[in-house]
Amino acid sequence: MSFDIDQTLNGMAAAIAGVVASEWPKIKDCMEKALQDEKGALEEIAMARLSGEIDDEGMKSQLDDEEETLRAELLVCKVEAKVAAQNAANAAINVLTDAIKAGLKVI
Amino acid sequence: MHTTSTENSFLKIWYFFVLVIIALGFGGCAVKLVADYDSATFNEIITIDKKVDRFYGDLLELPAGNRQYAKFSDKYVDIETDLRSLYIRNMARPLNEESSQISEIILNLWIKYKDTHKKKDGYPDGMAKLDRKRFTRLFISAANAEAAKKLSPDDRDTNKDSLKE
Repeated sequence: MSFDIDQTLNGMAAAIAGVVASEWPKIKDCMEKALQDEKGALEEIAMARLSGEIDDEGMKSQLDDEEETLRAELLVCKVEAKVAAQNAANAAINVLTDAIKAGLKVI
Repeated sequence: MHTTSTENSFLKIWYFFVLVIIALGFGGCAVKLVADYDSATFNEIITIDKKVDRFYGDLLELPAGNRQYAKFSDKYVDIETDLRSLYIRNMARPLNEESSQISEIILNLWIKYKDTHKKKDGYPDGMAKLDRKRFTRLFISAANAEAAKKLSPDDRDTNKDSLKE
């Protein structure tokens, strides 16, 4: 029976690292974009208040709503992170399955 | 403890069957952390976004003093129904917490703006423009959250979608 557990574990770790390395930049970009969009929205609200397009009550309402909007944008990043974790876990399981199947063929 | 050759053979056979069971088990088992991508939900998000944007386009075309709530109440109800349907659709799918929360945020804000419009019987330009942009961002978030589920290699089978295109 040829089943090297250390080699298999190393293979699984490499599979996980590979997925994380490729997915992390996208998640990071997602979070940065959410914050940039939020910054833009807050600037627009400030300008609208300064120009008198909205009053204090309106500005407060807008700021309250921005909290929820940012939360929604960050939820997208959470989905992306979960998909990355899912892909990493399944890549590792595939390595394990392949190693076991290869070991079975030798018997 | 010294084992006989018979015992060694027995152990090898036993070991073999255990590995077969493990391989078969893992072969059919995948980790799942998010819902499958659903093209019908994605399309619904785009459709409702268009309705909301059209709503604000029509509203902003009218002079600020001519935006009484009664002129828009039917459209408010129509869009609220669509948003509630989207929310329920998301809630009914397992492992779909984030999309459910996003659709809930959109629904709650729509109801808030409807109630404010009704209470004040008007909708100033400044607020309408900011709210319109907010909904655009929110629908982009909803669409992106759905599209992100397509990144899973296991979810490339469109036959699993709730509606075939």
